[in-house]
Amino acid sequence: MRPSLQVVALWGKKAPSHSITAIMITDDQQTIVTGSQEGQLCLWNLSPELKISAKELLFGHSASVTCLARARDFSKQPYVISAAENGEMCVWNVTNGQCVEKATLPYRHTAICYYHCSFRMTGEGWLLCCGEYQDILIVDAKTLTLVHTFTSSQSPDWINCMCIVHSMRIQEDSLLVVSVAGELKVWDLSSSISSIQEKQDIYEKESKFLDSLNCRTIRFCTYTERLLLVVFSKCWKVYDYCDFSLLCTEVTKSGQFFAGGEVLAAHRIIIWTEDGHSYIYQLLNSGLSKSIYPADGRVLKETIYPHLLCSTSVQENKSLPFVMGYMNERKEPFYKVLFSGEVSGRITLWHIPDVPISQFDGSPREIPITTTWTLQDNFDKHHIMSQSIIDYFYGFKDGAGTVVVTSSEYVPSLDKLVCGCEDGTIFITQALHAAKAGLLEGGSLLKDSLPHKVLKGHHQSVISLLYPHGLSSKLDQSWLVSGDRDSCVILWDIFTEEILHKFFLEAGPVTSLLMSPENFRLRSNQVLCCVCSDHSVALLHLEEKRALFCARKHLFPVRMIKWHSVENFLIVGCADDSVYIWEIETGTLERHETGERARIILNCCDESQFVKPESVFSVASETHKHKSVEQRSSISYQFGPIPCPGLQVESSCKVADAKSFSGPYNVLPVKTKWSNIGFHILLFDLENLVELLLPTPTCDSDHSNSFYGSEILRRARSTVEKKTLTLKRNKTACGPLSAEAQAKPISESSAQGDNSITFLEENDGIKRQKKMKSSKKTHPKPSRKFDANLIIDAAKLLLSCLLPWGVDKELDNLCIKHLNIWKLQGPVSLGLASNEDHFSLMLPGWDLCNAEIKKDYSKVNLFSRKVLDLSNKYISTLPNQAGMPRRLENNCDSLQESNAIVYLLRRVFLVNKLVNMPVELSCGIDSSFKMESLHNKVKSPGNDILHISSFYSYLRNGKNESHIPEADMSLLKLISCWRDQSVQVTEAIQAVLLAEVQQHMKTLRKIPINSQPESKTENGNYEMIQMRPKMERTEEIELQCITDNLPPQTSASLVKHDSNSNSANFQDNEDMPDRCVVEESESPGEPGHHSWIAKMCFCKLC
Amino acid sequence: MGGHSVCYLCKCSLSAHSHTSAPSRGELPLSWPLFPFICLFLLDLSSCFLTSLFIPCPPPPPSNGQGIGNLRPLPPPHRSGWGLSHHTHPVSAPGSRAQSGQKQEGIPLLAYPSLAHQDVNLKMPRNNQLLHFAFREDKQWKLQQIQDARNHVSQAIYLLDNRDENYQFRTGAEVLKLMDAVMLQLTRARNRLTTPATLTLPEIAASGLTRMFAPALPSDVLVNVYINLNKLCLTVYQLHALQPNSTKNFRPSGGSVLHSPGAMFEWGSQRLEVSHVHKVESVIPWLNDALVFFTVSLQLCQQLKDKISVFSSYWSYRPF
Repeated sequence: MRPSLQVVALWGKKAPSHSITAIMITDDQQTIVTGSQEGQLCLWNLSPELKISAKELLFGHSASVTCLARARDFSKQPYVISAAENGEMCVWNVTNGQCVEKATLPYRHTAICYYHCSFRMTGEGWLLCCGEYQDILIVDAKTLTLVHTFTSSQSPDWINCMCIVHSMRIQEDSLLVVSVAGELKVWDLSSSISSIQEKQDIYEKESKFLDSLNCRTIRFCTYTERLLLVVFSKCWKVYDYCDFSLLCTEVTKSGQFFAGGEVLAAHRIIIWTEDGHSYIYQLLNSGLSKSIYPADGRVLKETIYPHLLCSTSVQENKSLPFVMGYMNERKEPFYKVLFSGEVSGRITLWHIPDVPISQFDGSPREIPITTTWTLQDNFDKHHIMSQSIIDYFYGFKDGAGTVVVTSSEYVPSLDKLVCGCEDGTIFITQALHAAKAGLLEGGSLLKDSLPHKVLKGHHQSVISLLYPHGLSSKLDQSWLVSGDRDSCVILWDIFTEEILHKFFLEAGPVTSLLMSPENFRLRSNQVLCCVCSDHSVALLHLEEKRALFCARKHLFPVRMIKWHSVENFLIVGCADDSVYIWEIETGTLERHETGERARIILNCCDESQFVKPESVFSVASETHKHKSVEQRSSISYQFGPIPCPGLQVESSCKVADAKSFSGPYNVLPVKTKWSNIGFHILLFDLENLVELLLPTPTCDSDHSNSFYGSEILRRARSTVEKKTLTLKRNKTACGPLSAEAQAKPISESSAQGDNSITFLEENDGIKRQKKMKSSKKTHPKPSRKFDANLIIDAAKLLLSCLLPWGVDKELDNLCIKHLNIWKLQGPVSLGLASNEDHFSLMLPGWDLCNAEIKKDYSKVNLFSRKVLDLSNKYISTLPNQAGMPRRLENNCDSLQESNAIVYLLRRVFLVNKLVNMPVELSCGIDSSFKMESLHNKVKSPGNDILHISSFYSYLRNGKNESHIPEADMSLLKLISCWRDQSVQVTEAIQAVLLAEVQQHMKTLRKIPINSQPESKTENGNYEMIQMRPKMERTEEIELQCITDNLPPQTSASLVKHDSNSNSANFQDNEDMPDRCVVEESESPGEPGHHSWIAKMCFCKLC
Repeated sequence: MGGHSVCYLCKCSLSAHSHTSAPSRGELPLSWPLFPFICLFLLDLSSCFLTSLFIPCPPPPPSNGQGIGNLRPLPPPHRSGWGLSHHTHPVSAPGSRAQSGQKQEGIPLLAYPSLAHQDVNLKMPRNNQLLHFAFREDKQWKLQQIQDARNHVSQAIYLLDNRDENYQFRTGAEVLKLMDAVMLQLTRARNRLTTPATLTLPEIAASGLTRMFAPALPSDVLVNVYINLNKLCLTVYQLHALQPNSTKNFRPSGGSVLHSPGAMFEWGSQRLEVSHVHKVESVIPWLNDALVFFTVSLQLCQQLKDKISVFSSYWSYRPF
């Protein structure tokens, strides 16, 4: 997922399942982090009163999370590391949910300890890891690369658990581990740092066989610096750290298994079990001192016995196993907290008293549960926020609103959302409309007018849907295929709503529908493949309306489907790594292979599937056009990640989708594995939206102009190609071109304007056009289909989702009135993409996690209090003039409205890009940018704002720095500062948006203000007062603006910037005449700053 | 209808759904005690590993040594306890002859599948000298594949074991999750045996195996021992140093289970090339059993999952 994507989650009433497998509380006791079997991490806010509220869900792992640990000194950087079953490791910033670093090592960790020794180590410290491999791995905490290993000389084995011992007495840090065979080993840590850095072998210092299996935890008592608590699943033992002699053993009650333990205080420990109980013991001296029993060859007598003080338990229906932890108090406001997470997703907290005591009669006291919470509680509490995209369907059902959507599919080319329901009906509705109805305040009005269709034909719940045309444009546009629980597949015509054919497979529930790739054809048609949950695979020929055959021999669930086009084979890969090869024509099992051979077969087919389009590539780019689609489908064929299926492929599928979708927005249905609960994600592509919303060259007066520039334009375009090829700037470089093409349909349209463009394109030749397509890797066709209203609507929806509402009532009203956007019903769940496949989604109720906002219900969707401060800062640095070109104020309302929206979106995009810069840089930003900054370095050496200015000029397509007005530089500097102050992207976007809207609306308020000046102060908005002197000047300028006749100008600048961006610094001579064109058309009265804003906005890069 | 056992599994939905609605599908009635069966298999497996790792397994039936070139019966090593002389048996390796292809090379001999007390005899083609080295007695070298597989199995057992005897599963999803976790461990265990690690030559040289022999291996010999399916394989690489000024262009070889002659690598400051490769394999019966057990237990787990999902699909969609 690109960072330029804005994500809004529509959760629905049901929380996604979150089976907790790992849990930790951060050192500041403000956040609980849990990892789940589904692969997501959840951040929970822990208030000072020990109230829990879920905040964010972090997506990134594709397999079950095995362990969590702190990854830095928490007071400096709030980073947490998570490791997954398939070897993925991620470092997350738990304050904003961003993925800081990720890596995949071929090791499965079960425990991680962070170690940093400030005076002997450089860098960020190490992560000591143990897991399903021998001994200990040392991983660099910053880069997540393997630094070294600790090796054992004696019986190397897997390590179950470990702890780091900082002993003041010995002045040495040691690592204590227990292997699966029950062997305790000790490595010196602090003294071996240098030898680790020199990569010498480091062997254990001591080792001792502990005589029990399944060690769960080892803990060192820092209070006495002598006792060592080792918890095995069947017993726990206390050892003397000095000589590892056994002091005490306690075995479990029958049917109980210990899961862990911790030292509470000197001689006081807490032990917890797999079923959620915990016990606090006082370790009492038995009166037999060690000295009485000298080591006379026998084992030392146990000299300590435990006395049970307190216990905790969970009363409610419990689901095994529990993962528990204990957080010791550190400073005054901190508590001693015992916490547990269940597979059901429930978190329970116990506040452990400082001095736990037993009851008077000596029997153990029960410590009550302090808090317990689940994700679902969050959803129930904030039901307004947990709007689902299909909630309004409930309205249609008479009686109880219990329609459960069991499958959904989004058709981008038609903007239709297809939802299959539990009762066998299928709803088809306008996706954007539905989203608006769910999110916005006027939603109830929208609901009534909502166009929808209902398809009835299934008798069981519809669990799979497919729109074949979305995969291959050659397939019929009207087709929709749906499969149900009763093994019935229906082919629909979505336009006429009639059933074209019903297939009865007589197999299990149809869990997924796949289309054969384009290069595979049976009698010149593609084949539909239905995967059923009874492990059978059925092939259907849609054109002939005929079932080909049903392959039923598979013993394990089907994981992979491949097509061998030459020999007409269907290759089915199963979960147990076996492969079945079916002959499609006859339906006979050709071969069955397991093990190494199966792997080879699958790999071979992979090639054969992709060799064809690649070889044809140079001949016909037509096939290449669909390459992205094919790749995507090939990914989606691989349903269920192999190691531990979590969120059913969706994570990988999502990435593919996000990469390949070409429209300005998209709806993504997401489903979790072990439940039917799904939710939808709205994706807005800022870049694309801005491109599509660009005003197009329209007016007649412009006609000659565009012809005048056509020659240059063409040359400029040819440079685009060169650059695309040499610099591999796929997206940005050809942005202007495709934008122009895409902008066409929006143009309100004189045919002449259109003609001029098509003329240009024809001139340039088809060959180049193809190249353009291939480099863009998206198919322009569907994007052309988005009509202008839809795009404007999408932009408006995005703006209403981003705007902080309720900051100023009047401002809200003005926004609704002038921008024609709706107020939100409640705060929306925004998402934050950190890189390609790691992102976080806010959960309903996130807004109440911030203590300050808690009481203030008038503010809806305000991300944090910081936003207001930031926006004030922004306003104060804003240039004295209104930022927005406001020319058409009086004549054309709708045009002005859309202009304003475009302007705001651009601002958002710019901010987003600026704040995300470091991420992008690390990912390898366009080489052009680097070149550009090199250029600038030459131009202005020793400039301390070099970075910003170069980026700035990059945004402005490499114009000379001398043109930059000071005020805007300061704006950019400000935003860049925010980035360094770790202001979150959402905060920055909201702040800028708020400030810009305030600025914008102020000018709209102009007339009422002039007539009754008191109202201004009534506003109570001190920013207004602050800005007042500036406003007067604004008006002046606006007057000038209005006198200008600008529409042609905008087009001119568009043309100009196309060429400008293309030629950049390469061909300055071409740049020159072009610039003249603009200068000509620009009115002399136009202030300089104004023109730059106009230019900046029309460049495609911001 | 066998509904009783089903209720045991998915107790909560019992009242809500009459079991008669479920169509009778063959042997659908869920014969509950599947878990014990699975456990049984797992226990079998683990005991299998336990015995094989620490107690020497009965050796495979001695082959008569036919067709093995100039195989020399070893002088019985003097070890207490195990009458090694009659346990020692040559292992024929068709692969080795095919690989070396030359007339007479040393044939490594493998005594025991368990890697303590192994003798290796190697006749070097260069100087016709018979090399004899055995595993050191002071160190017990565990085959990592076996160790990993065993650990995976014990993890699976722990997953199945770590709840009360009368613990009742509440939802089908709970069982499915458990089965997924167990199957994951079993699959990994099986994969450890079926897919030997692909190692690069420097990795082999750095592995502890080279230090496990007494007398120490000559510096120009590398040894790798691994398990491939039900076979224990021993590969011996003979090396020769490349001259620094040699015209051969040096290209280090990547990771592989079995390197071919001509593979080059850098070790220390030296550049080395594999001149000869010898490989012998020995079929180990208990490994065969183990693999069968793995397959059976995986299938059992899958059957349990299938049955649960069949029922859940006929019940209301919700509780699953």
